[in-house]
Amino acid sequence: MVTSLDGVPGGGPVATMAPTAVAVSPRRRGRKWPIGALLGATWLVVVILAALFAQALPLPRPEALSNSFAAMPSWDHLLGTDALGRDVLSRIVFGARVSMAVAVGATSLSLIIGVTVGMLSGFFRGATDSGLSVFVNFMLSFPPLIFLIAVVTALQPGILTLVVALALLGIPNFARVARANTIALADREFVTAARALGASPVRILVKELLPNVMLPVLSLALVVMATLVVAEGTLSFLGLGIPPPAPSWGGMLAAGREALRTEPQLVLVPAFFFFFTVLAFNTLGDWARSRVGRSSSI
Amino acid sequence: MMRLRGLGAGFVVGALVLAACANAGSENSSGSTSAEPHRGGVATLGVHYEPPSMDPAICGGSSGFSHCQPVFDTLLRYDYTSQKFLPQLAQSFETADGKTWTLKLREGVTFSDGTPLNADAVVFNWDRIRDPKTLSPALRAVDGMSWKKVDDLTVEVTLEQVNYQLPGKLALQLGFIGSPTAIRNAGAQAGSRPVGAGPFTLTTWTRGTEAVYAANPHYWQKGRPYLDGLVVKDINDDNQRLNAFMAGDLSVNVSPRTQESRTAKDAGYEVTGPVPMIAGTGLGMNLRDPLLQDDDLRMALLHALDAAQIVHAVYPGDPAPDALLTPDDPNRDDKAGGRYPTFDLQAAQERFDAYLKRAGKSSETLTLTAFTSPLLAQAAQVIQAQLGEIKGLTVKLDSVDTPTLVSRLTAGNFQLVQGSSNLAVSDGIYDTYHTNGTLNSYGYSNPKVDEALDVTRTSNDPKVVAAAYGRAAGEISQDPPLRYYRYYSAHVWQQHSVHDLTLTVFGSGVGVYWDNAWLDK
Amino acid sequence: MTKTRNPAAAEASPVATSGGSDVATEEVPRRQAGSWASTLGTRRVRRWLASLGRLVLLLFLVTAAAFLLLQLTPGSPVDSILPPDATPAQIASAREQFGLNDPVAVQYVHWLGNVVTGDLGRSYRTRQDVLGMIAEAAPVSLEIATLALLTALLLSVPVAVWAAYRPGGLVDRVSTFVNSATLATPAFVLGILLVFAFGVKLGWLPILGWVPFTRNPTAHVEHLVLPVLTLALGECALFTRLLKGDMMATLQQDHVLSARARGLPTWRILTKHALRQSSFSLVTVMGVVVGRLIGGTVLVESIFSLPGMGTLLIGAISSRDYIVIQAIVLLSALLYLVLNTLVDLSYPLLDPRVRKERTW
Repeated sequence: MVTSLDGVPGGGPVATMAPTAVAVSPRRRGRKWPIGALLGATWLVVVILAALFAQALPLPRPEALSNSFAAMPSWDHLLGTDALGRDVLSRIVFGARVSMAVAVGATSLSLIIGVTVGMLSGFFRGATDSGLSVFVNFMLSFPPLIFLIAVVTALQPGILTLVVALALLGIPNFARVARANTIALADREFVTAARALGASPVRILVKELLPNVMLPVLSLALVVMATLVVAEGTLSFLGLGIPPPAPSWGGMLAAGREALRTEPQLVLVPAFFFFFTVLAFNTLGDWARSRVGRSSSI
Repeated sequence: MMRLRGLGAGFVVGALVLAACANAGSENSSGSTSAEPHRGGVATLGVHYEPPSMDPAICGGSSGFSHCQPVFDTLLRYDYTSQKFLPQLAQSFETADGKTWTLKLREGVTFSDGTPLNADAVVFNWDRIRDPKTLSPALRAVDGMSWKKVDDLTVEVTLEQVNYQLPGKLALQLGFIGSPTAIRNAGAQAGSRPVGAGPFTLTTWTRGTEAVYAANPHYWQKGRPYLDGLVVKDINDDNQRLNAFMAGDLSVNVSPRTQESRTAKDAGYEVTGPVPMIAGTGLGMNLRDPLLQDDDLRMALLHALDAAQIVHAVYPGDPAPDALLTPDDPNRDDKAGGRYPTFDLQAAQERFDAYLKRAGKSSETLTLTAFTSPLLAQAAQVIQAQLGEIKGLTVKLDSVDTPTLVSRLTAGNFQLVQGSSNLAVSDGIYDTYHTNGTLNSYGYSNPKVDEALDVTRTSNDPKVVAAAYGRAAGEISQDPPLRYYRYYSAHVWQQHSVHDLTLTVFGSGVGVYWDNAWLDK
Repeated sequence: MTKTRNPAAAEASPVATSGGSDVATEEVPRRQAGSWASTLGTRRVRRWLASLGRLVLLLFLVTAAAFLLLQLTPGSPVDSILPPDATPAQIASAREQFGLNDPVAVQYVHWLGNVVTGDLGRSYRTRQDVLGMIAEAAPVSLEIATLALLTALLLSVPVAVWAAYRPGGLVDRVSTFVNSATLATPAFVLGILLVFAFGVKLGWLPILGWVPFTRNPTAHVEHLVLPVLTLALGECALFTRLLKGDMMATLQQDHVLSARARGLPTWRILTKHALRQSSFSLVTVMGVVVGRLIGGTVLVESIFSLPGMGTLLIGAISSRDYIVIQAIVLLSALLYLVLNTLVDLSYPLLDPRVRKERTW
């Protein structure tokens, strides 16, 4: 999953769906414990817990200024301070809230709408499919960066705006995967059987198809979350992210860039957290796909 | 008297000497160096801003000095040491009564396309500025002005009201005169094909990157410019400009950063500055908002602002402003008093509590509209934190992008704002702080200030004018609508191979006149 | 159910398909390898026309949406161009010159009419011809994007091929690790780190700016290295992973095994027999990747101060230069759609055995 802004969610699944469906691993290791995925999951759990319970942690307020600017780590400030003297660890933890909220929130919204669109298209075909396809293609053809900038400028920067804007961009991803899988599954025996038994389309969609479609969709969701963490960072870098003084990882990177020569730690610390969080999402996503992938191929 | 650092004093003195000699056509080299100027070479200037167009009607009013001066030169030149306006392209601009002015042009000056720079040309250019269709930012500057050609080299300007500060406009907004023939022929392309009477002609302009100029063979000062060419590079990021200068890619860098300028100086580069300006960024208050009309609330905010902390955090090395005029400004009158309210949290809390009591409230919320660019955003966060120290006051931060902020400012649609004011010349104080000032975005109106500022325009006596500016500035500082937390400062760095730059100030910083500049072999 | 060799194809193009019919009953045109003429039946022509129709429809929708979206942003071009002390006469003149007094629908139709005749208007801010501005900026972005693509391919293809040939070997493991690392590093962080390492600390390369090739070829190339590398590394990871996956599958196939049995040299098998068929996934994503690279130049141009389309766009948005933004939206959408169509059309050239699964 590449991390540039254009095609943030638009480019992913095409690339990421392919290899696992086709690759035939010549060596089958009897490994039961995927270390990478486990580590990734652990890291994510820690980050999410920290984000959820940020208020309860014994940290200084993230907006509290002090007079020690860009200080190195000390017992008072475990990760040092930023250019305005604010505690970096506290800002990382509270920034995690923003990153996670945007990533999880936008992905969920994208997923719900995208899967609905995709499944309806894939199941009913015909006019529904054509109409929804125009909608999806429209979303794909609209330059994502302009869309984001315009939406954020129009609606004022904020978490909700970001979630909505990024969710909109992600819909085509999920729609395509859902549609492809729905088409593939719609001819299977269990669906035919359900039809024969007189089940209504809604029932078929929800009870038979949805659980099967969700598997590849969820593994995609993990990778999309990684992309959105990066997207939030990129937007902050361009000045469109969460407005100050609320901390966000991208904002910290953008601000730290000013002092790259003299205090590189201001960039390196948030970059470190970025790196491992995105890596964790990607690793988990890969593992999930490798488990699910084969069954999603036709 | 102003302190000038480094070689700045020498340059300015040299420039004055040269200006005085210009009429005589002699070629004295500037007084700062006894070396003989070399011919040849291409100098590179790094700046942080590029004007949208090199149309002479647009350039002057939009801080396009660095890009436009090489091609057009200016009618008059502002010397910030003496605070005088000296003839540059024009021969003289004089008045007897402050209402009627006579502009005399030099004989035999032609634009680079061969057409003459005469009264017709000046009238043509000024008429264009006056035409609303041109959308010239300098239109306001011609309010209350009318002009007519007297003879081929003379233009008479008549003002509705006495204003001895008029020459300032001929150094900037009205100072760029383009060839009427070229402007007519270029039509809509006038902004990309400038033709003037300056020392250089424009060769190419890659927008957003650089403009390349070549020496003008028809330049009226024979034997000038010494340089073969000039490149003006637009590098927005201060750090990148610094890096480019250190790497030798720039001959001259204009930098707003005090800390880096000191470092450069310590590293052995020639650094002039800070060049005195009347400019700064600060906390602005909309006095049309009923809440902010309350003296106690305003004073509370002013006492809670700690400029020292802001510059310490965001602009290390800069001094903390304590009044409208910088300590170096010759008009500043320390004896008459008049400073910004000092940082005093206790006083702030007391005033705020008094406000709450009178208003019958238990708390108050205000909104601070701020920029999103990195340094400004940092400063805004510090301001918010500082004002938030007042118990019972919540300040919400509304960060918007520049066009949004500008339109809110113009429409008066804000409470607190991160404002800035960049005034090249003292007369800019009138525009910003006079009740009738055209740039008075804050709704400020103070009869004492008005009276003093009126004097600055109506009096011909420099001492009286200086005292009036001092009075006005002092009065404004005591209860300012815009309280600077940072003086804008500009520093000029030059490589050792660069000589004889003539400096001036305009709205956004320092400008360079290249007529006499030369490079080592 | 028509089987596709590669389900990636099922996800690919937005345009190159016709509407309506069910997969099972659709007749797939017969193809023989190398026989192009026989495929130019009416069905194919109809499909192309349908694609064209969809393309035009999408362009309409996209540009209209952009128009509306811009109207919703606060601030107007007048504020960006005129100073706070502009006179009412100037403001009125500006509004008239920019057509802002007309209702939105009229403005859109007017703009559309001009576009059709090839007139993209003049920038509100600089009065330059918009087409000219784009013509100046586009080559910069295109050069960076193209070089980034080529660099990514150059770096990833050999690595992927070798890793597929020797799975679990050193090359495989190192490249997987580097890939994961690169994927986890956002482009802008990568850019900043490269600037820091090569520009600031080591001083080997210039860290900003653009020198036209005609002015100084060496400097031109020097200024390109860091931006291109920043973009290329991101895509490298993707390419390596895709190609490796496909290659590993291809290497299992009969025709490859038979080539080995015949004793053909390894490198020849790898390049001639296996590579071409394994490039399917790669080609599939190419349309999207190119689109993303072009978008990615925005970031890179911002970091390295390059006068490309990204800088043009950011500047236009900062000054609400609607007319420039509209032109960029139009051209971006056009480029994306055309690229995807081309990618679609290239499938049969790569592997005639593939039937084009009906997709969106």
